[in-house]
This record gives sequence, C-alpha cells and structure tokens, in this order.
Amino acid sequence: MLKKTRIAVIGALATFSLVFAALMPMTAHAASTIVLWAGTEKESTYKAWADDYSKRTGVTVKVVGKAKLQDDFKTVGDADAPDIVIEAHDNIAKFRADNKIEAVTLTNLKEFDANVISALSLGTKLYGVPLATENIALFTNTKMVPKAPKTWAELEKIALDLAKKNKSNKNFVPFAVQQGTGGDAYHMFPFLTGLGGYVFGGTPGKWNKYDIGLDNKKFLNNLSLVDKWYSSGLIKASVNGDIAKAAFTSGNAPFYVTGPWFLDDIRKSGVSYRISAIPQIIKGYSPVPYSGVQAALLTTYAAKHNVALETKAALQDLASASSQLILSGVALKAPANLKAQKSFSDKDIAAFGIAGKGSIPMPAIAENGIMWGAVGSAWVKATSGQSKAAAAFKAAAASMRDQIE
Amino acid sequence: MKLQGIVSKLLLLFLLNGTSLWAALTLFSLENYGPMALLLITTALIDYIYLSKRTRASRWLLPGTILLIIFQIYPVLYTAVTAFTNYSTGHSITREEAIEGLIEQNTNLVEDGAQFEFKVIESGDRRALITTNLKDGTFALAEPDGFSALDSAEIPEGWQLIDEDRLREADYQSWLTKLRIPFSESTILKVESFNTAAEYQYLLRYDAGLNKMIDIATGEALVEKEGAFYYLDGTEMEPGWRIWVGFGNFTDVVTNDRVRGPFFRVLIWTFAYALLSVLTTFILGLLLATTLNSPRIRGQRVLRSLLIIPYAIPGFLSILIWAGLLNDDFGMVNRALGTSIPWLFDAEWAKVSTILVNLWLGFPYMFLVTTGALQSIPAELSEAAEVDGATPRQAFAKIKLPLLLVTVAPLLIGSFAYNFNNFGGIYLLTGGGPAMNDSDVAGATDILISYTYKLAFASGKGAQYGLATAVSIIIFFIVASVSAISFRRTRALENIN
Repeated sequence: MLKKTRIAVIGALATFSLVFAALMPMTAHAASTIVLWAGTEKESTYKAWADDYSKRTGVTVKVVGKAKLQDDFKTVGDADAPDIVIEAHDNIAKFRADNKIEAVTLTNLKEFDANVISALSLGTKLYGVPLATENIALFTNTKMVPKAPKTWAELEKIALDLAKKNKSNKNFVPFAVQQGTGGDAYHMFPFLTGLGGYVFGGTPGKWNKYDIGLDNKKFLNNLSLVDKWYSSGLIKASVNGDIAKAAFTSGNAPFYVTGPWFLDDIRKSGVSYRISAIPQIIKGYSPVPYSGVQAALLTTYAAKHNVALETKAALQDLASASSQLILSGVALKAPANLKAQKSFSDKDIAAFGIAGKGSIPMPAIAENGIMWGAVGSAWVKATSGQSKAAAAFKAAAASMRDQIE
Repeated sequence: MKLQGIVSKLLLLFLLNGTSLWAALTLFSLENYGPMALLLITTALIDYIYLSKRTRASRWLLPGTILLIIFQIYPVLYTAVTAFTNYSTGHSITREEAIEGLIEQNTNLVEDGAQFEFKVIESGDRRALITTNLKDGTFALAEPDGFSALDSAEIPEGWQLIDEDRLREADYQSWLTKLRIPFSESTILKVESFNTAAEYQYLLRYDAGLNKMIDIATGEALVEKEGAFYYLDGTEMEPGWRIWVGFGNFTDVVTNDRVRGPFFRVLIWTFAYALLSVLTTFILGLLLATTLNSPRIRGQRVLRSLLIIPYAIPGFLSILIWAGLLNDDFGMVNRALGTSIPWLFDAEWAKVSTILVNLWLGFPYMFLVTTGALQSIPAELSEAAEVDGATPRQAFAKIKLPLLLVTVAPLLIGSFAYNFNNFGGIYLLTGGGPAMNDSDVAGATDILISYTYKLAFASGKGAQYGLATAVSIIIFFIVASVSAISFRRTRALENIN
C-alpha cells in the first residue's frame, strides 16, 4: 500500500514537472525579436521609434533601458545580450577590441556629414549608424547680460563686474562650467582648443596617439590666463555639475556652458537665455567644443541570435530621415541625417549647431580613455589652486606619454 | 506527515523540477552540456533528499548549502581563477572566438567591387542564390561552393523560391549570415541584407595546421604573444584573447613600476585610514559613553538617542551630503568656519576629510558598544578602587579600560576589517581623488578596494579584471592575517578576568 502511494506520488511529480516545463517558452531570446539597449534616460525615445517600426514592418524591437549600459554590456551572457546598442561614438574602439560590435553598411551614406561618418569609422569601416549629434555651447542669461559680449575679454569683464555687484550672494557663479573633484575634460575642452592646445594630433579617424599636444609651447604660454581666471574667481573646479546648473537656472550665473540635454530644464526654469559659441579667447584659435555622435551599434550577438539580417534592416531604418525625426522630436537633439536636419526645426537646437561649428569629434581610440583622467585632473589642479596651469598640463602630457609608450 | 504538508511539498518540488527541466532544455539547445548535467544532477539530488526518509537531517542543511555554493564559493573560485589570467579589455574572449572575430573584422568590402541582388531558392536539401550582378548585369546560380552562370534571373526547374517572410526564420537568416561564396580567386560574396550582397575580401587567414594567422596579401605569419597576434612591425591585432599568465598579475604588483608605485602608496594609506578610523571613532565613542554613563548627567536617554542619529541615517546619504558640505567655495563647512580650506581638492586635506566623515559615521557604533560594555562592568570594582584610594583617572585606566577591551577588542578588529574595505566611505566622498601623478587609476585617497574597483571597471585604458582580482586576493590575505594576529593577541586580554 505504502509503496504504491509512493510510486503514484513520484509519477504525479514527474508528469506535472514535464507539463510545467513544456508550458514555459523555449529560449530566453525569442526569434524575430530584436533587442536594443539604450541608457535609461533614452529608453522612451527609442521606444517611440520601435513602436513605429513594428507598426510598419511587423518586426518587434524590444527596447531595454540600462542605467549602467557599458558595465552590463561588458559582462552580459550570449542569451541576454542586445542586438543593437545605443552609445556615443567614442566607445567603438573599446567595444571592437572585445569583438562586441560589427561593421555596418548604409545605403544612404550620402545623407550624412563626412565628419560624422569619420567619427564612427575605424580604418575603412563604419561601426554604427549615426543618429544624433551634440555639443556644448554657451548659455547667457539675457536679463543679466543684455548685450552679448563679442570677445572673451569683454565676457570676463562683465562676469567679474557682476560678481563684484553680487558679492553678498554666496551662490553667485560668475562663469558656470562644470568640473567638481573628478574633473571634466569634456566641458573644459573649448578652453583647451581656445588656448591653442590639442590632445591628439591628426584628424578624426586618423588620430596620432604619439603626438600629444597638451604641452605644446604656445598652449603652455597661454595657460597663464587660466591661472588668472582661477585667482580672479572666474573659473573654479569647485563648481560641479549640480552647482553649475542650479546657479544658472536660479538666475545666479550670467554664463553657463552646457549641452542640449539640459535644455528642457533651462526652459522650465523661466530664465531668459541666448545660446552661442564661446567667444574667441586668443587670436588664431577658436574655442571649439567636442562633438559627440549618438550611434546605433550592431553587436556581434545579433548573428548568434540568428537575427543579423533583421537587425541590419532595422539599423538601415534608423538611418532614414523619417526615423531620425521621430528620435529628435522626442529627445530634442540635432538629427545626424542631413535631410532630417533640414526639416527639424527647433531654434535652440539650431543655435547649438551653429555654436558647434568646427567642433572636434571625441577621438574614438582606446587611448582617449586615458585622456579623460589626465586632462580632467590637470584642469582641476589648475582651477583649484593646487598647481600652476602650465605645470599641471606638463604633468598630464608626461603621464599620457608614459602610458601610451 | 499531514496531507497538507505532503501536497505543498510536492507542489514546490514540481515547480522546481519544471523550472529546472525547462532550464536544462534551454541549456541543451545552447549546447551548454556541462551546466545542463550539473543542473539535472542537483535537481535529482534535491528530489531524493526531500522524498526519501533516510535523509531527514540533510533537508535542513540543503538550502543553506546550495546558497553558500552559489553566492560564496562560486564567486570566490571565479575570482581566484581570474587572477591567474590576463582577462581585460581586448583580452576577454577565447582564442577560437578571437580568431573568428579577427577574420570577420578584417573582411573588407572590395573597392569598386561587384554588388549583387539576390533571391533565395531551395531544392530538397540544397539552398542557393540567384544573383544579379549589378555591375555587369549578369545572372548566376550561386551555391555555397561557387557561381555558375545563368541566362536570366528566372528560377531554374526543380528549385523553389523562398519568400522574404520565410527568410526571416532563424534557420535561413543564420544560413545567409554565414554564407561566404567564392567569387573570384581572392574575393567572396557576402550577404548584406535579405536581398543584397557584395564582393568582400579576406585580409587574414587562419592556418590550422601551422596554428598561425597569415596575412593573405603579404604571406606574413603573425606573431602570437601574450594572447594576441602581432605584425612584425609591432602592430597589435584586436581582439586578443584570454590566456593563463600564472602569477604574472601578482608579480606585477611587486615588480612592474606602474603598478608597484601606486600599490604600495595605496596600501600604506589603506592601513592608515583603517587604523585612524578605528582609533578616532573608538576614542570619541568611549569619551561620550563614559561621560554619559556618569549619573550626574541629566537627560541621559535623550542625549543617547540623539547621538545615535548619524548611525541611523543610511551611510551613503550622509557621505553624499558631506561631499556637498565640504565643497571649497559653496560648502557649509568653509562658510561656517569662515575659511577656504581645500577639503576635497588638496591631497592631504582630502585624507583628513575622509577620516572626519568616517568619524561622524562611525562614532555612534563605538558609543553604543562601549556604553553596553561599561554598564556590564560591576560597580563594586570602581567602588573598591575608590576605597583603595585610586583617583578616578587611575580607576578608569587600570580597572575599567582593560575590562572594557576584553569585550570590545574583537569588535575593534571587526571595525578595522570593515574600514579596510570601506569602499563607500572613499568612493562616494572623494572618488579616490584628488588625482596623483604616479598613476591614472589610483588617487590620493584611494584605498585598496576602491583602487581594485577602478582597475576592474573605471580605469582609462579599459577594464583590467585579471589585475583587479589579483589585488583583491592580496587584500583578502592582508585582512585575514591582520585579523588572525589580533584575535590571538586579544586572548591575552581575556586572562585579566
């Protein structure tokens, strides 16, 4: 009797287990679904496109927002991996070194600016679909500064005069550009170029990692200006991202260097503003910012998931003017597709485009990773009184050379 | 056993079995046979243990043991194994994957080469393309082994057209993606979309017999070293792959200048940070505890509760707030003091800041444990000392403190080990900064664990998992030996009683 019950129990267990297993979907990565990873803040932008795309083609694109996209992409297993990743162009070398991404071919290559294409190229190959371009520019509070300064010297005078007037206001920031303890080589880049410095010699796509321009003679001479900016209180490393933004949006800063990502917040703050390029500091050098290209990258996992061709078709669709207009409409960024750019009308984004004229794409070489730390901390040292600017940049150049060999 | 119990046990087991069967099938389809076998054996073992009568004792141990293996033993083993490899950005995959990747990444579009449009056709097991060469307008039947010319793009007899909907099926898509049809002597056709293809050229070829990568154009055999292929002129080909490096990562810590310099600087600061943190918090905690222990103080309870507040607020919140308070120009601290101390920008001041903030976070704990310990010391001892003519200071130093240390010493060791690895205390406050000249990774206030984290994830040159895991193993041995020695010492204290 007992034995029979036990057999019955085990039999029931086996049957139910089998039924349960049969009910579950077979693979985690269902065929014919493309998985797209984007930063959490961009999730809704790409969902808008994905919905539209699936309506038109019947192909499902699953958009996954990732707070730590790069870390997750480094360690993800095959089954959970994305087929498309949205990242800035300067990551492509790193990703390719780990065989994470593949080259793409576009049928409408002519609809993109040559600079944008070269920013996304390694050798002769294109590693990603350019989606949007962005750069930083100078916001001016038009209530505090009704007349736009034409030169940097003028700007400096206006900022310092206002600082004197607002001496009792402890939250006043004469010139808000974000650094903080970690430094910010990206936001400080216009001052590097404006004073005659450069990071790598060469041109986009053909950077020369052995030609470091952080201690070229003219730049080192001009750096005495930075020491002056620090001692007069114009530019200080203690102004971090939060302080800079809060100062401008609360009317405590006449000038603010930032990108289109804060446009929405600035509009909501009600501060009246003008967007322009940073005025020339020294004759012969224009203070141009870095440009970043948001790109859709084809991962090597797409082939492993047997959706490589469908993913390529989706990427080709992302390159089209109509799809880029969907993205730009949601995210307020200048579309990379030139046709889309023409029909995209937002006067602030247009102003960013003008301010970004001549901007330099962030070098997409692995060695650029060293630059962020070295140059960022050189600016911090120079603008927190820890060292003279020239000495700080000499040290940064030496450290970069030492690490590149 | 009650019926209810049996039913719920069976329900749980069938959920478990079902899930693991499903997982096993998925693993099977992914050709992961090792993990699949492990999963099935474990499931069978669990079934046996919970169904058999002879294994009653194991039922209680099993869940804990499985969790221990998954969350403790496996990560420890994984870390230990990784420490002996060169796992890092550019060396993250296997050699086979890297070879495949290298050939694929170096298959280039032929400039002014042929462009094709194609249809996919099928006849029994045979699959082929009907291609239209857009350059010269010729048609061909392209099978995996080569092209044969056709007069038109019409489908030959016996073949069937596969429409685009079916091409989306995984089987066809994977076949098309992997398809490489020899076109001319040195070029191939490679599919670019569901209906277009182009002429490509391999740059590299792998010679399995020689076990070497060959540059097809020049015939040069690439040199293989340290998990990557190199041209004779020193150009490294990416991706590389993971190799065993033995004790390489450990010897790097001692011999490689670029690692050694920062490592020993960081090691010394880590000891200083942990020791100072324990000392300052203990002294302040003890001081407050003794003061508040005196019956003459009014409102003891209120004061004690107030002192615990810093401990009750989540640490990371307090640290982030302190980072704002300590800002040079905009922080409350400098404003209140009327100073302009570079709390976070100067290397030495930043160290002071980390200790001060840790003091704020840590003293309530020390206050709590010393209060408890003080109250457990019998009052007769102090009274006896008083009768014998000891001053209050003598009574404290000779009677109370030694007795206190007996109970508190193990906690101090624990606190040392905690602060030795107090990642949040450093990373959230200073991010390890300010930057130093001797390293792009290790800043002035970096302790070993934050240095390890930066090596693994945040270093400029990309991830260096191998080196990071080696350093974390070194950290383990340091903490373990310090704790072992200290515990042995504290045994001597216990003889006081």
